[in-house]
Amino acid sequence: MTYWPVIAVDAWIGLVLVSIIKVTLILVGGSLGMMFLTWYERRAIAYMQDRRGPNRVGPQGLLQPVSEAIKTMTKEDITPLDADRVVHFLAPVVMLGATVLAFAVIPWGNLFPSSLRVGVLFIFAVTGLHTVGMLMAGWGSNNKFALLGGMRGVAQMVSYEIPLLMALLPIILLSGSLSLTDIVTRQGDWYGFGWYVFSPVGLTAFITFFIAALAEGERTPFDIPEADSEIVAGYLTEYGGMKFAVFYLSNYMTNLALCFIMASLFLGGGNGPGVTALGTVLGGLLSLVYFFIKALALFFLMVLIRGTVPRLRVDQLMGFAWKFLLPIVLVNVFSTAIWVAITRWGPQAQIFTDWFGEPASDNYLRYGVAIVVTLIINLLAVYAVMRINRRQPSDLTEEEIALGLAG
Amino acid sequence: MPFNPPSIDLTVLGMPALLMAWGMLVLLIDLFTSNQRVLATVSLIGLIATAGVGLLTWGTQRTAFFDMVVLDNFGTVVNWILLGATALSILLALDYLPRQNLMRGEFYALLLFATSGMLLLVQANDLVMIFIGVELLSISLYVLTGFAVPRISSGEAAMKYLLLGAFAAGFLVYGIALIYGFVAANDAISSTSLTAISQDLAAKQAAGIAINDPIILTGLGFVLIALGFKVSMVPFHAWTPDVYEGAPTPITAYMSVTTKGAALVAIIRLLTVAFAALRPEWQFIFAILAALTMTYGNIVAIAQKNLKRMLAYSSIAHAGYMLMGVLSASPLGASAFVIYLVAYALTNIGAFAVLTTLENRGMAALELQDLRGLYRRHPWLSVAMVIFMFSLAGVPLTAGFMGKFAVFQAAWDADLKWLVLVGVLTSVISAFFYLRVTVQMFMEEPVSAEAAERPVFATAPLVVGLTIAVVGIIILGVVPSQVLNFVNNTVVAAAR
Amino acid sequence: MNYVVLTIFFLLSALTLGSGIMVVTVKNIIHAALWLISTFVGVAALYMLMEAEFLAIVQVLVYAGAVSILVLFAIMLTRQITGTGTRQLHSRWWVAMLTAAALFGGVIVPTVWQQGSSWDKTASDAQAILVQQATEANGGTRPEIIPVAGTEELGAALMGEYLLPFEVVSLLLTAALIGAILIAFEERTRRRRVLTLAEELALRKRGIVEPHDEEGAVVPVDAEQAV
Repeated sequence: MTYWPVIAVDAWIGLVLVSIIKVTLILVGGSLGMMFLTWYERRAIAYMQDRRGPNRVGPQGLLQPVSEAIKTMTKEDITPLDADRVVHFLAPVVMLGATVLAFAVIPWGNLFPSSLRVGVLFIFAVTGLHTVGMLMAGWGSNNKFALLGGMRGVAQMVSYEIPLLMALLPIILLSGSLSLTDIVTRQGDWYGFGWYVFSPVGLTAFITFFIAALAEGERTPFDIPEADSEIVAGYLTEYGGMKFAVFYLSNYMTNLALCFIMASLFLGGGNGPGVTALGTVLGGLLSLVYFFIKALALFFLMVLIRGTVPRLRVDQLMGFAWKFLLPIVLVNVFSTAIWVAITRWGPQAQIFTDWFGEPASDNYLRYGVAIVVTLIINLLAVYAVMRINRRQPSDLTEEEIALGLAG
Repeated sequence: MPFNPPSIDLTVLGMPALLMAWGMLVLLIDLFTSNQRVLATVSLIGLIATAGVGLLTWGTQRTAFFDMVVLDNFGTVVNWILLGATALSILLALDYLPRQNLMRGEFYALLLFATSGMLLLVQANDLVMIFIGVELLSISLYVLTGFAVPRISSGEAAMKYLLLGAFAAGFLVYGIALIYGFVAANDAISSTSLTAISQDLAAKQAAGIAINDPIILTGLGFVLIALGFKVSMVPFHAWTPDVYEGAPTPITAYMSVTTKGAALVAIIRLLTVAFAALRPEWQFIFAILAALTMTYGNIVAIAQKNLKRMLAYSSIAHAGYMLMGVLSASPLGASAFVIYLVAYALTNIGAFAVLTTLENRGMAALELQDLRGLYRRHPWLSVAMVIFMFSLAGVPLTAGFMGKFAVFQAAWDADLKWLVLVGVLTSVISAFFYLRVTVQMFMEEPVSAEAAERPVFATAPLVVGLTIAVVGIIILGVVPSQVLNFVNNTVVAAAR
Repeated sequence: MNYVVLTIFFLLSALTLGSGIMVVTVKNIIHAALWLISTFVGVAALYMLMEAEFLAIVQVLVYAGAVSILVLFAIMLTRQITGTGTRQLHSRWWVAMLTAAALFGGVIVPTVWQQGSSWDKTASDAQAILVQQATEANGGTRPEIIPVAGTEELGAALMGEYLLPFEVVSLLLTAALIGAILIAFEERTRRRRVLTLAEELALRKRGIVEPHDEEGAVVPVDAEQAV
């Protein structure tokens, strides 16, 4: 039995303590973040709609989520008579569990709770378990609307997970690592402005990822699983009180996680001007500030879209994922390979060195050529996909021509 | 971590690689045109170009991609046969598909994918490549079998083929895992390549370790079960009649020939390259299975009323004859197998071509009695059918006779004299039901006045295909020496 | 620490095995599928315990996240939604059990027989042993590349030794995708698109009324073509 790694008892206890502190911080931070987000979203959307929004409980209504939390906790916990009790009960637990697991590796600024070598994959693997919770909720409620919502949700999640992961590939190609720590630190060049979003491939990846993330987080143009006007509240129909609150918590924590991930992967995480210059402590604090600004700006974009874009139809949703996002994302992976080849290949491709000089971080010729080439490829791809997706007149039935859909 | 990109040897991979790319091209062309003549023409050009690649690489003998694929003249010859069979099947399908309202451009792309899988299987020198080749051809064929999917029999056939094929794939993977475990466990050789396996077995034998270990025998057995399933060897043949009956007729013609050919080449390579040391273990069992296959296929075929089912059982029997060449495990056996495959390809596709001309839309099944009086309706067609039936039965002066003769000779030389006896006896049995077809066409009256008036769809591509088949059979049957010498020289040279 | 790891290992094993038993014994087929997910997650956790991070995550991503969902989806689309009362055992269940036991034994017995002395090692010990073995095989000097199953090694193997299978598999998947669409699309072309209320209203305004039969059901325009 001497094969197990032997660690002294005190070191072991220290490890456990640190882990407990980290877990507590994440759980508290996540829940607080969720509460803040609900308030933030309601206020923001109220201003977009020329209203005030919640502004009575606490300063500027900041304590509104707290009062609502108390309200949901005191409500009666109802389980429908014919529901499958165990599955009905476990569904929100699975949902929340999947979300919280993802927070194990999501960085807060330049602070990393746990540095997993395959962190990026881990996040999407565990958030993929959301679908299980959704199906459990839909089926366990023994309600037609709930089941419809669950099925819609799963179809949406499974379809959009593909462009989501594919949009991630360029970032992994650019950074050469699956670890979030590496991805964030490698965006620290150029005075903290070496963010991946500043390259054509990174920008395409960011836009497609953002759209797919909206669908994964069930945000508005894609909130089909719980479309109130069509199927009551989808898989949430039979949930009330604390169970509903847990779903809500999981949903907003997912959105928070997605914003954090996008900020880390594309917008440089905590990187920004002055972070490295200010040293560990001050720089760390500054990085946290940068990080939250980026994440909240992304969330504001989500709210803005919610306030302006109408909900998609189910077939439009599927068509968009498979016929529009997926081809573009695939082409983007290809053009990322070209980007890497042009900017980094030295001895592998002598011809690039002959033309543009040695690869270096200040060889602007190489970067310029790479930007032009990849931009052209990506724009051509978008144009071609839109062109192909436009239906040919011969396919239209007479009703559709009568409806003026031919244009 | 430093990464060294592997060297890419496209000479060795030339034929399958070109065909794969061409399949993609056909898929892309399908996006812009719905004219299937264009697609068929492009596919035929692709097949010819691929055959041309074989001509360019002729005489090269080497392996590539970490010993995963091998190029030799034996493989190239079999590839040519498979390409020819595919081309004939396309000729069959050209008018059949629109007539049955099955026009979809993906047909040709999938056909090319299936063929490229077969070429890969023929050239495979690694258990992993064998698996992937088998899967590529199987998945394409599942879809092609279900191509007429609103028709229930087609859907049923595809479903049966898929489910049983999935079991066979499971056996294949399990067998590969067992072989890998036995070969890799003790040594630094971790490759699944057939050469590595044979080296490892030889090293073990030299070190005095028993190589007829239950693990490797089970593994070999599982791999052979899976390949035997594709060949429709007897205990694993149950899917054959249903699938052949339900699939669109050109596809039946195609897969009855090419799948067997490709899988048998994989068996040849597996047994003679990797497991030559275990020959006493596998040869006897295989001989019994071959005898069973021949007997069962021929006897059950007698009872069939449906023509496609009859040909399905006859194809099971022919798999048995080809197995005789395979299990001789000698250069002579391999060349006999090649000759048999040529003869069988021409004959069987020809016979199915005749069925294609007779099959009309909405017709449930082509029965034996539907052939009555065909001589009056279309004399040339019935003459062609007679030639095909004679060749299938192995009547002298046809290609089928040459094939059977070569196979029997190889088995006789391999000291399997009882098996030759079984082969001759079952051939005599088979003559009964093949000749019955002839009798129906020439000597019986049509069942009804309506049946006598049924149209015969002998369109131009079909006539071309039939002519090629008939001419090939007669040439191979009457003046076989050129072909025999060519095959003997190339295959024997490749084996030594 | 030994006992901590061992405890975790046995807890995870109990979870995995228990869920596996539930999968085959539970009567409700949806419950069986959910237990299957639990089995997959348990296996992933075991991989994680063995420090095979990538394998663990792929297990969750592919099996727990995708395959099981497809299973659930297929059940819900094909069966009665309640799914209760399905008998899992039929009269010859013992044949299946014997086969499964034999197959399992065929793998585990030789493994334990040959590797029995090293079953309780962690990944880092295994790594040390691998290094030692490779060094011995290399004649006393430590070789540069030592085979382990990390992400980078897997990637290098896929792009190196297994380049050809990797590329051909992509073609295989393309063929499967095309085939699936082909078979599924057949039905779609025969079904007429259902108009939304707004579209129907717009049609009425333009004087185009859909043909109805006596009972008021809509007659598909392309009924003849569909037959």
